Amino acid sequence: MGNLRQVEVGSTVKVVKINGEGALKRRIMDMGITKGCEIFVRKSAPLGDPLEVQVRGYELSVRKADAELIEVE
Amino acid sequence: MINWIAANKANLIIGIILLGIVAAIVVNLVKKLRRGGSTCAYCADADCCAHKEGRAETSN
Amino acid sequence: MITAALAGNPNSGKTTLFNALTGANQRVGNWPGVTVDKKEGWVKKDRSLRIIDLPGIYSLSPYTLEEVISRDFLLDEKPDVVINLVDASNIERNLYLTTQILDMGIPTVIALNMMDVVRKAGDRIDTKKLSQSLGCPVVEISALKGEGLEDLLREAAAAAGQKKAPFERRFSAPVEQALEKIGALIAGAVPEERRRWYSIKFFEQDAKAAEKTGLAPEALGAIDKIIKEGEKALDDASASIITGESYDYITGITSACIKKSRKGLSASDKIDRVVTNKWLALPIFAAVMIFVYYISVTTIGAIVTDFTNDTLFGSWIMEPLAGWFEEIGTAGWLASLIVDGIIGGVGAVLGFVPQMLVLFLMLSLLEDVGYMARVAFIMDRIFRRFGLSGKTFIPLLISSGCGVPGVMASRTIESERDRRLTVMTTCFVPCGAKTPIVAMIAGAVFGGVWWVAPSAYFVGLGAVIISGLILKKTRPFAGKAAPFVMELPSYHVPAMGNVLRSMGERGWSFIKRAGTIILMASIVVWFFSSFGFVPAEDGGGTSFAMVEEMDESMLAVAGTKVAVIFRPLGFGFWQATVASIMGLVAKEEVVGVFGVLFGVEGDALGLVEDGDFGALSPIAAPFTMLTAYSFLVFNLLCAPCFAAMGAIRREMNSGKWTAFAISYMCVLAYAAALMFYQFGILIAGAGFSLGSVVAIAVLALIIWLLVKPAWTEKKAAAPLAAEAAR
Repeated sequence: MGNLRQVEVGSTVKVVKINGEGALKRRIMDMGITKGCEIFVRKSAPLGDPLEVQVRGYELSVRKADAELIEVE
Repeated sequence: MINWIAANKANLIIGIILLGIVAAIVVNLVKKLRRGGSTCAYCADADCCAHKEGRAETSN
Repeated sequence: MITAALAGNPNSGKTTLFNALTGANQRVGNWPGVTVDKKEGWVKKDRSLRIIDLPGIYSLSPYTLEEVISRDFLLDEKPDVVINLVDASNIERNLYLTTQILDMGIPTVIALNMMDVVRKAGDRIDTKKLSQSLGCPVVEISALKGEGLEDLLREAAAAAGQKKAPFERRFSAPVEQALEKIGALIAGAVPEERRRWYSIKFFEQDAKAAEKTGLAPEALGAIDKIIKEGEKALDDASASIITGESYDYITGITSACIKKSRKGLSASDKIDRVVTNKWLALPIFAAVMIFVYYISVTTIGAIVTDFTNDTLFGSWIMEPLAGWFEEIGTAGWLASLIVDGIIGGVGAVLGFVPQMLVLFLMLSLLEDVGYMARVAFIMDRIFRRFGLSGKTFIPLLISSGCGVPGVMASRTIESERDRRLTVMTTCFVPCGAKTPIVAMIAGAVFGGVWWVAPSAYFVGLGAVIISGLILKKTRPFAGKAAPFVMELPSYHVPAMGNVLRSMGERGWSFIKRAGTIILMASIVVWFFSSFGFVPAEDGGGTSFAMVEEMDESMLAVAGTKVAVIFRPLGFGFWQATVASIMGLVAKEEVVGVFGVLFGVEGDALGLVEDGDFGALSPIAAPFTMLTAYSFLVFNLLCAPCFAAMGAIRREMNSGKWTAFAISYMCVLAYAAALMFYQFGILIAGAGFSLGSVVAIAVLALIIWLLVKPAWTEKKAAAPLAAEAAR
């Protein structure tokens, strides 16, 4: 268990819970990151942040600070 | 008087044309200003507004 | 008259579809109350079908401006049918919006776009099954190639007539129970065909929807209880339950209808392995921008511009015209007004249209292809330091065309602080009108060296970044960075039709602007530079007359007095001063002024033709490379044109902030040019002077502003740390 920020690049994880409130949480979910879905962490940006992940077949850019809100296993 | 007009007919014709062009421009600008608020009067893009929507599709 | 709403995700090809359906029959207006564009049009072949292009949205949740606009439109304007554009290569996320639209009970037709991408990847989609599961027609189209459009329109017209039954999806048992209870409570307050939708919204605790119904507090309290029960039963927040189950529902459908083939890297991923590679990404970005500016300004552009200035305006127009004037006996001053003033000024500006067009073409190609999203991804870390996020990157992009829509684009940024910051810095990016200035300096003074034009872009970009870093640390702007979740769309072949069309439009309006504003400004400049108070012939007193030497004109006299301010920057002569000031009318007028003042010396027939740059090489005379570049830096960064200032005024909604923004730009421009020139002459061997001391002081100030701790940085860091520890 842990959050998305802590995941090693190249691994695939499953979403357990999404923390946070209001608009940000809604945004994350609207983009397809929901309980039980798979996320593949493809890489981190050249300057270290944000992360590029693949979810539901497309590429999404997520900041590490926001990735902390996503609990995965 | 008539001599003066005759002597300067070239000037007069050109001058009138010029004034006409300038007047048309001014009238046009004022019309645009009154209608759309000042930006679309100066704006280099006729589609100055349309572009925003097109771009908003790229990110976010 | 059937009204259709066109809805879909960003990057799904909606604009392409809209253009393909409506062609030139478009109109751009405003959504009431906000400055987001409302595009509407009529179908080319069938003028009874009106299409409203809704903003690209990922969902109909009431958080961002675009979402609220779309939702309100669908609820209040009640379009007859919704054409939902779904990107087949991205289908799950696209269908999420679909479920929300279908929930509303409006007749819907799904346009399944990018099927060619899907087929090429080896996947297969059973559109019949999809249509059955969703309960609405699904039409395969290719917006880019214009295929399937007739079928789409036919289905849309057919669907519009029906009073469609509400979408039949079922949530899990606890949710359905809750929805039924809520539905009973709100039965009187909402239209029957919307009851299910409103029940869902109430369950999600959607405040905006609740407001619309004006339900009594007791009912609201009862609903709250129902929600709490549901949340407890499923151990999650109500909105999350709905979203989660929506996606589960979608996955259920797609797994039945879609066969995915391989699990390798897509073409886009392969390209990204290089483009967003840890080590290569930044150098590639630098190389791309250098290439873009080099091609447009220094090579292709320069060739066409040389031709336009020397041949077109020089030999073909100015010479014969001047000759003709003399023949028909036109007064000297009138001939001068027209040839030197108008044609000189307007011609100079028009001469640079090709470069501006090529630059614009390349930039919009880059964007259409999808590269700019990668740039936002790469640069995000830097931009984050001053509150820039995906949304604030867009204005910067747009500004490379024209600053006015760039400033207006920041309207959709919710955070007021970030919005102000964006408005203030977006004009630093070199706009299309500044390109002629860059090209003129690059050509006339630097002889077309490759690095001048790209460097202008990086100077602007640098100013944005440094300003952001400095301003974000000050109180009015400090605060947490906005969240940043952005899609990285697949690379795709650009829609050349769109790109070329908007390039043509922009070129045409640039020419129009030259023929109007620039023309007027040129006349004014010509007048004040050709007339002055000269000593009368008999030696007593002065009279107002045409001057022999421009330096005696009113403009020169006044200009020289003001020019003193610019001496520390290296270009303290009146022509440069006048040009910079005229830049307030329109940035390209800087070139226009030079065209009038230097284009022709005295005799209209005697065009100076030596030097590589032909008719404009006299411009180089009063500059050295150092002072010319300093001039360039100043004009790139200083206050924008009146139109842009007007846009800033409108966005800031406050005279105080507008004044601050513009002063900031001027001060930064002055400081930058000062430092550049003073350090330049220092390095070139001149001794220390007052100027050098000031320049060093300025540099020290900027460095301090950059490294000092942010105002509330410590306070802002604490809550984040606390959250992370949880």
